[in-house]
Amino acid sequence: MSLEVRNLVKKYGEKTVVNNLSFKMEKPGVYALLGTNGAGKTTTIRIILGMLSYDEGEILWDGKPIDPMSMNLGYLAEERGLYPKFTLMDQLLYFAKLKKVPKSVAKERIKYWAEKLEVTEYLYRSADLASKADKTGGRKSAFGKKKEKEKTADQLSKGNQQKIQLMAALLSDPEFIVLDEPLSGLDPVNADIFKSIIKELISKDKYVIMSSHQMATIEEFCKDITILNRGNVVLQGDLNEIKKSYGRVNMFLKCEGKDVTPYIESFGLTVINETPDGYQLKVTGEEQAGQFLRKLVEENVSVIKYELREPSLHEIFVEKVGDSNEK
Amino acid sequence: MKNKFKGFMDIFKFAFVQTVKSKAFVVSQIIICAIALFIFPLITIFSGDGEGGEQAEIASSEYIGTVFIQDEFKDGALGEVIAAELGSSEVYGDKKTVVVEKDDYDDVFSQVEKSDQGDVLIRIQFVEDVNDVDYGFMYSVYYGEAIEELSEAASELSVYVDDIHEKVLASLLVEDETMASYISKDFSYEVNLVGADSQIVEDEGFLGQSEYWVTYAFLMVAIFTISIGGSKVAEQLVTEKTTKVIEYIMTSVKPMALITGKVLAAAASVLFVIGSGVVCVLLSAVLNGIIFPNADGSIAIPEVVVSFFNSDIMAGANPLSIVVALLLLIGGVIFYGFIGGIAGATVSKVEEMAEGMKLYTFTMLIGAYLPMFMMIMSQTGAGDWGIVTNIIYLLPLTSVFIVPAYILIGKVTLVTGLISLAIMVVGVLLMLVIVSHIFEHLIYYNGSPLKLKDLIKIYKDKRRAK
Repeated sequence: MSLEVRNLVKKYGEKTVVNNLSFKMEKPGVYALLGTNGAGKTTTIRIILGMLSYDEGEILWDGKPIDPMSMNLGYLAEERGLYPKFTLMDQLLYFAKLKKVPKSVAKERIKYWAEKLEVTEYLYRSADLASKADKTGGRKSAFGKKKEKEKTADQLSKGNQQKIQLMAALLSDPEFIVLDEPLSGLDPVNADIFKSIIKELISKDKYVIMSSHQMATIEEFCKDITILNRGNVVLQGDLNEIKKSYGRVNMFLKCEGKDVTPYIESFGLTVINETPDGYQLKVTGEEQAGQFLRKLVEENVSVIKYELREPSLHEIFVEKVGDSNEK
Repeated sequence: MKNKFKGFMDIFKFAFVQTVKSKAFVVSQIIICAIALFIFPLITIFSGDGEGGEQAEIASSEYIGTVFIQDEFKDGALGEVIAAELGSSEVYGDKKTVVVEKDDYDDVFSQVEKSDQGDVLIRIQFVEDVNDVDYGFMYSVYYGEAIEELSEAASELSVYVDDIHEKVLASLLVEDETMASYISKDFSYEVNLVGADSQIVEDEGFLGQSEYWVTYAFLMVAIFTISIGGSKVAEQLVTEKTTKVIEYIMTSVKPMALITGKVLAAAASVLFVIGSGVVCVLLSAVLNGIIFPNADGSIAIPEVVVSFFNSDIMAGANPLSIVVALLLLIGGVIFYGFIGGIAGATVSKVEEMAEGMKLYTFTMLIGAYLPMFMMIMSQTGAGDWGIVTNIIYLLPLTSVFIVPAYILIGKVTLVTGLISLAIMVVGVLLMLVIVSHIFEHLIYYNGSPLKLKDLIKIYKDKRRAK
């Protein structure tokens, strides 16, 4: 299996929103589509998913023109949504039906993902959960309590609604999944649950395209990336290779006692950031970094923390998109 | 093409089930059924006897004075028999009938023209030549303009004579075996107003009181059905757009399948309401008959129900015409459902829905008011608007509001109904083409409500792109 996007162009009137985009996913894993707001990520995703037409180019799945309607794919949209007044179970079964998943299979999968995502209590009535032996099935109990109703989407928090939508995306056990900003708006606990599910998808050899503004998340999961800006590709390739090409030019330094500013200035280093935790400096390479460190030691500066590393994706992103905008 | 509609049944089923399950639907359904179920018993209680329908019918015939019959067929063989039939009928039994000679036509015609007593003339003619356009029997009923209500009475009299035609011919078989060959001949009738200077005006566009109310009731039902159906489609699409559920659905189905499923579900749900309402009204008639039985203990069905199914009013009703009328109504609901779908998709926020629905409401009002106006004019006897009438009968925008009722009451021919239905099918297909061009753009559109000119621009751009 492979996904290939070739010279994709999408225009709205005179405006080109995706300009000659090409990339290829040859192996299962997570591919990152990055960019600022309005860069063309969601448009690209919608085109790949068959929701939007395109003007030029082609999209191939396993070497053949992609037909999303006949494929088993999952989609977690950036702009989330559920029917506010319909029960969650009805909605999930409906979404599964649209994906041609048999009802019995859908129910099993709903149960599986509900437990994983910790939303069981919202999908099933407590009477159903408590005991199947109780044939009243949640209707009027001996104590005269009213029939317990199933939950509707508007009774859930935003985070829990997001979980239900992720469930909807995964109900068909898709081979190809698109996650558009999967972690946005989640608290750290729920973000970890989502991350664990992404890891599970990777372990199951799924093809995942992920769009996110959280660069740390992308670094955690993605091997290959494409950065878009105003519809144009500004950077593309293997993330590790990209980082290596930048070299180890980011230095983190924390010292005690002496003021190190004069040494920084004498070496002509750029201060990217200065915090109570220390300096983030830009060096030309490992040689300059070594000379600088030796100088500090010779001058008896007490170095508490020293780290030399490649630029983060965040830094690369800001640099590339910034450069592109300046042009 | 097939791929474009793939999954529409799933959309249809879900939208229909969720609509029917909704609290608002259940409550309104209960109210409608409760009102429909008890309408006749309540009318009976409040009116005292509930026999309004019979009274209205008798009242119409009371405007008739003397019925002159001039028979130009076979030495006046039919005249006497028709006079006898009228004399023995429940409605016309008290009327004076005079069979006149052919030579007396001018005198009688003049009397009918000037009469303020409600005198009418039934003229029976027969054309033997099969190549003649007037081939067969023709019953012409003439009446004067002195009494306004006489037009409806004359119309009902012509329907009555038309009804007994075969019976009359059959009764003559005993004396004359040659009459058998005439039974199979064509027969028709016309109603003519004898105006000033003996000018004859055919009452082609005239609508009787009963026909008027049947058509009016249907028009109201059609407006209700179409209005609710279209708004339902629009409301569902706006909800899906604003909640962004549409994003998920679009990965499984194409926009065409989405809107088709929604339109059919809305059509099915409103037709379900109407259908159940009609069933409840009929049950109400039976219920009324059980609660207030006849003197002999048998079930008394309200006369208004009986007269509704009476061929005098539903003159055009037969299995085929009923099917055509029903299909035309369903087609109209679907046609307007697509317009509602487009209107709903032009909006991105629920609070802007009223603005987005202006296009739909405006279109529907034109579609409904034109036939309504024509119908009102028809009741005054000025119903023939020439080409405008034909446009109203054939245009999908207007035909749904009037043609089904007119087919059933025999006001338009089945052929006209079939042509109207064919054009409706073309209209629905045309809507599908328009929707296929602009709907993809609309469902992802987020902004202020689009106007008609914006939709036209989108359509043109898409066509150019293709």
